[in-house]
Amino acid sequence: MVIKFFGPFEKLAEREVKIELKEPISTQEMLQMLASRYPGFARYSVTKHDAELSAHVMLIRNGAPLKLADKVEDKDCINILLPVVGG
Amino acid sequence: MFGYHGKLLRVDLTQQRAEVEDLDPKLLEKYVGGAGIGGKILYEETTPSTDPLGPENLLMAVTGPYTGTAVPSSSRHHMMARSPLTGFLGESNVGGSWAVHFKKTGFDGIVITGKSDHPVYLWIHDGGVEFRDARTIWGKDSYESAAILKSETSEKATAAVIGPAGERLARVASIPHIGNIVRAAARTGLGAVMGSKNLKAMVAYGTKDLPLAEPDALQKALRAILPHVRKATETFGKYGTSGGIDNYEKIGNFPIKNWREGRWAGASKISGVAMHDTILTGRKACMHCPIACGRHIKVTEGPYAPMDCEGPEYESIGTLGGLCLVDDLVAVAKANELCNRYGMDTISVGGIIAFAMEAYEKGVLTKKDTDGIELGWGSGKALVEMVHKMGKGEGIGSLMTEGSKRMAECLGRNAIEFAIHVKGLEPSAHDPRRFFSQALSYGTAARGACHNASWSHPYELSLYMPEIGIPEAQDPYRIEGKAEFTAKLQDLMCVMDALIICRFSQVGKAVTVTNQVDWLNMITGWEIDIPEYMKVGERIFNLKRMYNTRLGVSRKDDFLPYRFMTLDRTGEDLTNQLPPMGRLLSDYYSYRKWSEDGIPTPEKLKELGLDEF
Repeated sequence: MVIKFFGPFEKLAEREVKIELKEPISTQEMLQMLASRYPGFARYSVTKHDAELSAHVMLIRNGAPLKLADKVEDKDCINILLPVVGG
Repeated sequence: MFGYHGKLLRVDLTQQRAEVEDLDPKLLEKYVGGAGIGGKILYEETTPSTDPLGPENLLMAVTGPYTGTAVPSSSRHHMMARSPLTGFLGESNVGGSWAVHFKKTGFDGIVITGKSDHPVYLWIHDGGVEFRDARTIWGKDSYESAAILKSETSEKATAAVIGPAGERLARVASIPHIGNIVRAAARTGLGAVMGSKNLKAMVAYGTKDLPLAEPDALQKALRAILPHVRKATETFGKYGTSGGIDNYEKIGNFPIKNWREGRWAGASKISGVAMHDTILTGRKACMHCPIACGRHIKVTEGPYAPMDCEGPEYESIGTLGGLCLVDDLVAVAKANELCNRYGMDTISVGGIIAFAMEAYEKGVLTKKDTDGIELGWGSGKALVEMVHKMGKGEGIGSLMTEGSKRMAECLGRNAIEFAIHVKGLEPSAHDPRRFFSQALSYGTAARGACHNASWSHPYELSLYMPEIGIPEAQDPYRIEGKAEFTAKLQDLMCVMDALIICRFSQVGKAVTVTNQVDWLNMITGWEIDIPEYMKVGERIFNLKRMYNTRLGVSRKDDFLPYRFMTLDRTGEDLTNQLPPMGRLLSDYYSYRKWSEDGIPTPEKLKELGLDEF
């Protein structure tokens, strides 16, 4: 799985990271995995609700946002970006 | 009476006379305030023959029961008139500080009619209202005018003041509100209505207390929730409304090249993150708002220096930047500043310039038409030059400020095919091919292509509100249930525009509908529940529809521009579907209990207590 970080998340982590997944995991588990690697992600890994998470971070796969319960797998490319709600 | 002063200020500019009208408590319970009270007055006191730019048109600014309290993000008022841009209902909801200052003068709203025989401004204070000569500031830009007005009245005051665009009746003219923060009642050309009355400004500052039913309970409730609001909106406040432009570009919501393209690498160069890392010098907040999404920027060198002013927010960047393919953040910021100074709606201006760029590309406009300006895609220089031309009404700029619909009709050829508007209003920066609720809301909103009428796209990403029947975020492309989903959120936004509270209080589910109703009851002493509360919103939405129905609006006016319904954008990872508007509208009318032509039925009007309309 490839995870790309944009904007301030690049500072919390790096530009891009590859993680090998033997089996699919939930998005929440992926965030927990990231938190163990990058402490700046700890605050997102404990989030329990999608609405709460999406106020601070948006995870996009194939042009669509991921929810905490969604499964991610090894072939995925995930973009991690700031959310926005417009003006 | 709690939460209100119970007073409406009525101003006749022709006679230069003001009267105070008592507000009926039953009327307040039925319509609450803001868009509700304003909508009712607009319906009753204008007719289909009212000239939007004639003295008979009304111009209103109405507050709500939240205004002047410590409820977060509630320093707002609702402005209404018959729109000179669309010809239909005109409205704009605006934040800042004017609403609080005005309400503290002892009034809940102001209704202005007539036309002064010379430029005037209104100075509204604890002692009432004064008509003051504005001839010496007529012609000056809004920032310069506000500084003079404050020096003549009170440095603590806020000025709702038009610029040169409003004075010359440009149909995209806004009403900038200038106090400690600059905010604008920008949409639907209300600045031109003000200009048509020879009214340069409404300056307000007051100190009167507002009686509340349960002030201690309200204070306790607000103290309890404020840490949660601050935490939920922390990221939004830090990077502003444009913080996640990269995200919106990736999911296909960002507007690109007059709505023709799906992906654009330039988006990241004009995002809130780029602004944060370059020209941002501070954050700004409307009164009583813990979010502080406003930007302050400073530019000291380069072709657009100096700039030390408000920075652009998401919609302005999307339209002035994305639609025109301008990836120069400073040029976009300059165009935004100029729109504020001239007093023009950044969303419409961006949409119209993008339309003109496409007309130039297709040869419908030539270099002769633009007075030598090379109006190519992506030119920041051309963008800024065209904003100047529009603000001054010079050359083609005069036609452009008539709006893209009128401009296309004037240009002829095939221009009408790429003039992107609904009911004459240019869309905000959200693509309806990415969110079907957005498509439905653009189509059915009273003022035209307005994202704020439903503010539903966050509810198609992650937000939910179980207490109004939205237990989880809805699939953006789901058709089944989309009508009910969209209508419920439109009703919610209508009642929020009556309270009044900002859309952004919902970010991260910071404030819920349950919170809103609890606070309303604590402020007013009412005992309404959520179904009654939502019924107020539905009543206001239907009232606004009836206003437009009287002007001939029906199903034919609720469709989206050809491009949104037929142009399938392409791009890597782009999810993109064309909204099936016929099916969506039929479902929607059925849910609303409107006729197949989109007219509210007598049964529905009776159910809502709108029989009189």
